[in-house]
Amino acid sequence: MTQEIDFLKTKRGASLKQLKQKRFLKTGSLVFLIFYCLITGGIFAFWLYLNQTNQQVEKQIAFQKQKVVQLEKIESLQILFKQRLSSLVKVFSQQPPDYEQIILFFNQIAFDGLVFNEFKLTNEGKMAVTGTAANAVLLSNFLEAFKKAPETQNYFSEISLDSTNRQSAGDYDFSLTLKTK
Amino acid sequence: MKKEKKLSDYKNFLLPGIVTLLVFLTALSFLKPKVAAIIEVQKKLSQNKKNLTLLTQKLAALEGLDQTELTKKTDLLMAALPSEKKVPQALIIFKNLALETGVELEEIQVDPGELDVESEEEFLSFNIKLSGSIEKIGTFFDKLEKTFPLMRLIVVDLSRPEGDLFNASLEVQSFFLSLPKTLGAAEEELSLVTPQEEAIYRRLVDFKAFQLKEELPLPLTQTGKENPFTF
Repeated sequence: MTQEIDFLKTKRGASLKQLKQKRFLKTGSLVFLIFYCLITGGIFAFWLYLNQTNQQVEKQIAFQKQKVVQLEKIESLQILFKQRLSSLVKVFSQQPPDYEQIILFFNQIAFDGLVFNEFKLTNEGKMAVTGTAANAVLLSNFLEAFKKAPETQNYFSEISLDSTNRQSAGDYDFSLTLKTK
Repeated sequence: MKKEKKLSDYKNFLLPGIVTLLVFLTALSFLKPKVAAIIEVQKKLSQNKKNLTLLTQKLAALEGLDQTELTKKTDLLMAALPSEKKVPQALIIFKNLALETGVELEEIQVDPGELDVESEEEFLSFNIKLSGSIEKIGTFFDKLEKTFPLMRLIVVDLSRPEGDLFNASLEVQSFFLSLPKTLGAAEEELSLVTPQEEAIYRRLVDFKAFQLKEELPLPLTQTGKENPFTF
């Protein structure tokens, strides 16, 4: 009885697997290569597109710059105008008190027997007033009238009577401190 | 036999190997620099687009400005806020204001310091002493704050030595501002006037520019050597 031993059995099986593997690697490599080439081409095309767009924008910038340079005179005037106005905003933001109206108001409210001797005003809104009243009644009347006057509410936010001193002649010296609005 | 098997195994990997090597080499030599270049160009393009938008806006704003009107406006502001300390002009203004309002100007003190245009100071202080009735002094104050160059009363000290006459001691600031040094880059945004600034300009237009009445007297007498060859 003869017995056959197929020594090539294992080899044949392996070669089939290898064939499949070979085919897979070959096709896969080609597909990968094509895919890679497409990506590379795309990147190259995008780079070209960006460069061209950039060049166009740069040309437009140069053109616009040329136009702006032609209007240099107007630009310098505008810069000067703006610079001056910005500085004036600071000056006008510190609104000083209306010196004329305040002094005229005191002049208007004074009556016979009451005189103002000194006014001191600063642009920070502080005001000091000194005066003399012929007697205590006049001083009291003045303070009452001053408190009730509508102008007092318009011009001043704080009023304080600092001192009243009776003089030897019987008249009264007084001093007021005020804060303008 | 074993050696033969090994060689055939490697043969299968030959193409993928070549492809991988090719991809690796081209990626290093071509793809990587191109991607870097794309990033660079994109940044540049984005910046350029911003610049172009700014330039377009600036150009539109500049084209919308009327040079004649702007010159007129700037002249007014230059009168309100001159570029240098104008001491003689201020002195003439004080004198003429005193004449106009009827107050008596007694003393003017000023320490102009360096008459440097580049000065960091923005105002010049004057100490003025004058006398007059309270109404006249009040009018003087009102007119003083509505003159060009722009002036502000800082301290007012009024005292009555006798009768209706008041003595006034004032500290006045006269403003000035040096000219801008540069025009700025073309891509720089053009600063437009804000509504607040526009309101201040309108307020200044309402100011009456004080007319300088004092003129320097011209020499009536001939000075220098006489021409001996006149007949």
